[in-house]
This record gives sequence, C-alpha cells and structure tokens, in this order.
Amino acid sequence: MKGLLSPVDPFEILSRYLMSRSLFRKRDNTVKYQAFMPPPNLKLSVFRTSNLSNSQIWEIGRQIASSQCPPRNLYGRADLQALEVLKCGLQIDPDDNPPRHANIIGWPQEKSEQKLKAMKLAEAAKLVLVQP
Amino acid sequence: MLNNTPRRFQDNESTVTLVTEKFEISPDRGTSGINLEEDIWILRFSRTLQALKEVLEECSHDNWDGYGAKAVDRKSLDKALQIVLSLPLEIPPPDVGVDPDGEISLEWYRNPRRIFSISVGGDGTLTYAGILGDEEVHGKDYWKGRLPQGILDKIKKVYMLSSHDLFDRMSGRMGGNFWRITIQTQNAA
Repeated sequence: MKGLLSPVDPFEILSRYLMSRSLFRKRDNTVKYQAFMPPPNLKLSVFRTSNLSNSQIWEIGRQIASSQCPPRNLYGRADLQALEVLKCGLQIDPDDNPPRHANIIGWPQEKSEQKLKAMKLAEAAKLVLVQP
Repeated sequence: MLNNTPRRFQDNESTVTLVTEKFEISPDRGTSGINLEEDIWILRFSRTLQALKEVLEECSHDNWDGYGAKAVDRKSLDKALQIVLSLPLEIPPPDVGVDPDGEISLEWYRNPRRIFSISVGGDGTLTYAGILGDEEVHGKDYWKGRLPQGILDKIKKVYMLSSHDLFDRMSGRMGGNFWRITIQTQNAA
C-alpha cells in the first residue's frame, strides 16, 4: 500500500484499530476512553485511512493484529477526524512507518489529564465493528 | 425492597388508578419491564462482578490491547473491589474496565457527554476524569476506606438530568432507568 508523508489535513480520518473487546461498548456502539490512552512513550498509534476502500482499511488492521505475538483478534476500529485531535491540544506526527502510520503526540504527563483528553477523543470517535 | 402495586385513588366521579412502574429504556431494546421484587443489592453486585470477571479474562496478560498494555494489576483489583462494595446505595454500580497501565477503572457512564471514571491505583491513588455535560473535570485523590465526598458528588452529576436529556429519554435515544406514571380513569356511571 502506498505511503503518505504529506502533512495531515484536519479533515482526514484517523483509524485506531481495536484488538480487545474491553475497548468499546456494544450496547450503544461507542468507544471507551481506554482505546485512546497513550502508551508510556506517549505516542498513540493511528493510521491515515482517508481515500482508502473499506477492504483496504480492514486489511491494515488485520496486518497489525496478525503481526502481534501471539496474533490478536481484530474487533473493530475507532474512526476520528484529525480536527478532533487538534481541538484537544494534541498533534499528529505522520511517520509513515509502516505506510500511512501516524502517532498522536503532545500528551500531558499527568494521567488524569490524559484520561480527559482520551475521553474527548472517544466521544468524537465513531465505532466500526468487524462484520462477522 | 420496592413494589409496583398500583396505587388507587377514588372520588365521587371516577376511579383513578395511578400506576407506577419502573422501566428500562435502551436504544437497542426498546422498553422492557423490570421486576421490582428483585433484590436490588444482588442485582448491583452481580452485574459489577460479572463485568470484573470479563475484564480479567480479557486483560490478564500483557499486551491485551495489541499496543503493549500491561496485565491487570492485582493490587488495583483488590482496591477496586473494596471501593465497589463500599459504595453508598444512592450511587449506581459502575462499569469496570482496565487502563493500558493495568489499573482497574470504575466508570459511571450514561452517554459520551455524561461520563466519570476513576482509575484505581494499587496504593489507593484515585485518578479521575469526567465529562459532565458542559463541565470537564480531572484530578487525583486517595482511597481512605471510603470515596471522598468530592468524587461522590461528581458521580452523582453523571445522572443529573437536563431538559435536553429528558427529551432524549422520551424519544428513546438514551439508555437508563426512569419511572413511568400513567393515570387510568374510569367513569363511575
């Protein structure tokens, strides 16, 4: 798949792949804030999925899940407009490694602040579940 | 223990029956009656403990989220259980989750604009954040055998109704419990 090194447009869609059932609520199809909590290196991994077909978007997710050791199940993804990230005072670093990959950066050190920002991202995100 | 026996009031003209009945509304399932003879306490704890069991199954090993998350911290789990079992009756049971750092989170959730969550540290640190309508809160506090009053007050705000929320409930767009009251009249003649 062709990579993307261009700056992220605010209206681009960023996808966060969900490899645990505990990261979303099935009862109202919403994303939990834990899906957007940053790891210790404060780089939250996402993929730039605008202008890709649905099957191409899922293909990226399946590759990510199968590359885990042991391989993980892919349950769905949380789609988010880049603008929502910027509104939270965070930035997007498009490293294109692997292709179309980017990191959400600029996270505060305090966990409570991280939680609040993750909640706002989860509120703005759209849950898309893998079809059985 | 509650019961939903209809209450009847009678005057010279008509018999008026006031029926109070507790309902649950969810966007998916529509309305369904709840048997109020159920033991509320058993209901509270069984749901929360079931949720705990599920997250333990899902998150008991490192990298459960595929992004390097830590397995559930057992000390955090112990503290979270103490908190749940100590909750005052007026506080609804929380949903249970796990943060990527392994801390158990207790979450009171009505919708994405009404949510409050506490991450429970193994040492009793309570890291909280919430979106309570137009208000956003975050901070840190400590477990000393009971939840601090400031946190209890914020949890209650999750369940405060605005006129906008009432509209959503009446139109069936929001989940939750409420009381439906209907008045039935029957002419005496």
